[in-house]
Order: sequence, then structure tokens, then C-alpha cells
Amino acid sequence: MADGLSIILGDPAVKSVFVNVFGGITACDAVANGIVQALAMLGDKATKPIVVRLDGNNVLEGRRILNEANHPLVQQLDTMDGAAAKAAELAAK
Amino acid sequence: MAIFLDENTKVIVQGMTGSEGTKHTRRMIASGTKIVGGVTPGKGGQVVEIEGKSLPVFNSVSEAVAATGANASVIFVPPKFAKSAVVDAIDAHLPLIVVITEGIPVHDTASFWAHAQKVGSSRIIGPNCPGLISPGKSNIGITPSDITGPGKIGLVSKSGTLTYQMMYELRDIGFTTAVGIGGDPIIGTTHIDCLKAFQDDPDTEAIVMIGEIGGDAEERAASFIKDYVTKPVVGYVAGFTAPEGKTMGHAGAIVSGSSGTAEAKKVALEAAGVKVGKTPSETANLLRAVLNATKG
Repeated sequence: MADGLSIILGDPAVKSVFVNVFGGITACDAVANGIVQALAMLGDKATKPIVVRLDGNNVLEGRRILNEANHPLVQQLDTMDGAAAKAAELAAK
Repeated sequence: MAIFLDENTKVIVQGMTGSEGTKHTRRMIASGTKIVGGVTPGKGGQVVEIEGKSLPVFNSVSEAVAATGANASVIFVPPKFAKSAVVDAIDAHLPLIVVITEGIPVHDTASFWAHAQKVGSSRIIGPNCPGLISPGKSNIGITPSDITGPGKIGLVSKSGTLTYQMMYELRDIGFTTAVGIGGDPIIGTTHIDCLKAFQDDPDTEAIVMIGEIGGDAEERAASFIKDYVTKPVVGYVAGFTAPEGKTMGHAGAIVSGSSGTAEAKKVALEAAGVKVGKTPSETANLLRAVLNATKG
């Protein structure tokens, strides 16, 4: 997750990032930790908004990890359609 | 009723003593699945405590079947050992074998698939799949069990995440069974096998079929629907914006030239009378519409 996110954030064509996960074998807490680690690794190099929608296995723990990290680039939305619309809106800015 | 899996299915876990195996055995027991034991070659005779149950470990599937009366297996062993695990289950004549493992060499899958055909007593689901769930009855694999309850929709999908998403969208109606058939180029149970079983299941009133780019499984399913299925079917195809020649997440999900495109699959399904949604939520609305129309 950390590696994948840093590749995407490093692409100049990318304006916003949509992370859409319904946790199965990869549960939401693993995804949330990956996002937090990637952002810590990238530091100031991360400048693009990240819209996250988590559901499924360990969803409460995943949301809690992201809320606690409270990173200025990250926002969480509850539904897939809502989060997709938000990511598209941010990319159009 | 449900298809392939119900409350009487007795399940053994191959690879139960590994970390993924233990974690998901716990989840399966918590969601009501009758887990009766595990198989790890070399660890036979041990007993492991998972979720308040003492589960015996056996060296082989045939030993496990003899001792527990198991009639299904779920496989969580690493790719390198998956083929011998599946062959062990086939040779024990287990009626249902669910292969969760991702990354099994295609040649290995071809080999155990052929062996299963020769022996002729096992249905294989997967590999590289989330398994199947008959909500309120049993859950084999890694599907979150609390998305929705029992109902009248049957679902078949190549994708785990889209299975969960569609169950979530239609959680107010519920499902007889949701089957994740897996995203590899070679799989055991196909869309067509599931469509046939849902058509023949009296409790399933409508069917959702989720496909994706690559291969021609959706086209073949469309022609089967035309010939055999009288229940309403709605569909979703992932990958309309996929570039040519790139594998998209699943090993089998690749557009080669003009074949395997989402558009071609949508056209084939619509020609068979299947309404195809552009998003999971639109597909869910199409299903509601056909259910209401059937009632009227």
C-alpha cells in the first residue's frame, strides 16, 4: 500500500487519489496503516488530496486509524459513489 | 435453499495452522460456518483452539474426512503448495473445494483442474477467489459475513470487492448465495455453472452477474442465459476504461486486441436480455426494477 501510493502520488498527471476499499483478506486497518505510513514516508513530497472510502472487514478500526492520524490531505467519505464524486471534483480543480 | 453451501456443510480448512488460515477460520466460525478440523501435512495429531472450539489437525484430507465427516474444504495454503493441497482434497472425493490462494501458477491450476475432471466427484471454486457465502447459513472463505442477510438474490462474480459492494448495495433484499468464482485465467466453477444452479434453486428469484475484462466467460454466459435462464438477470462489467494489453489487478483481466473488452461483454449480455449497469449502484437499481416488475 505504501509503495503503491507513493508511485501514484509521484505521477505529475495525478491530481487527486481515490482509495476505495471493501475489506476482505486485506482488511481496512491494513489499508489505513498503509496510507498513514506512505504519507509519513513521503513527507512534504505528498501534495495531492486523497479521498478514502473504507468498508468491510475491520472498517471501524481502519476509520479510527485515519481519524487519529488526521492528515490534512486525507478525507474520508462513507459511500463509494460519494467518494468517487469527491475525488473527481478535486481533480477538476 | 441456497446453492453449493448450506448450514449442513461440514468444512475443513487446509492451511488452518498458518496465519491467514487461523485468522479466517476464526471469522468463519464466528459467522456460523461448521468448521470441523484442519489439514496441515506434518502437524497431524495436534489440536488447535480457535474461537472457543477445539479443532483437530490432520496430515491428509482423507484422514480428516474419515474422522469428521467433512464434505467441503477451503484452501489457504501458499501458492507453492496449493496444487498438492487441491489434489489431496480431490483424491478424498470432497464434493466442494474452495481455493482462496492467489498466485497459483496457471500450469498447476490446469493440472489439478484436469485431475478433478478425471476423478469426477469435486466441484472446485477458485482459485484466487473470496469463496462463497449463503448468508445466515454458512460462509466459506474471506467474505465479510455481516454485510447482509438471507434473501432472494443469487450473485456470481469474478471479483471479491465487487461481490461485497453488490451485497452492500442490495443489503435490504438479501441473498440466497453469493459466489466469488475468482479472477484467474483458469477457474473451476464458472459463471455458467452458477447461473444454472441459481436457475434451478427455487428460492433464488433474481440473479446478479458481475464480470470483468478478459477472456470470453461473459459472452459464453450470455449465450447460456439466452438458452436456459428464465429468471431475471442483471449484470455489471468492470473495466470500461481499461487500456489494451495491461493486466488489471486479476491475472485473467486483460484486453487483448479487440477481444475481452467490457463493451463487447456488455453488448453480448444485453443481446441476451440482461440489463447491464454502469456502476454497482446503478446495477443494484436495475435489479430492484426487475424484481418489482416480476411482482407486478
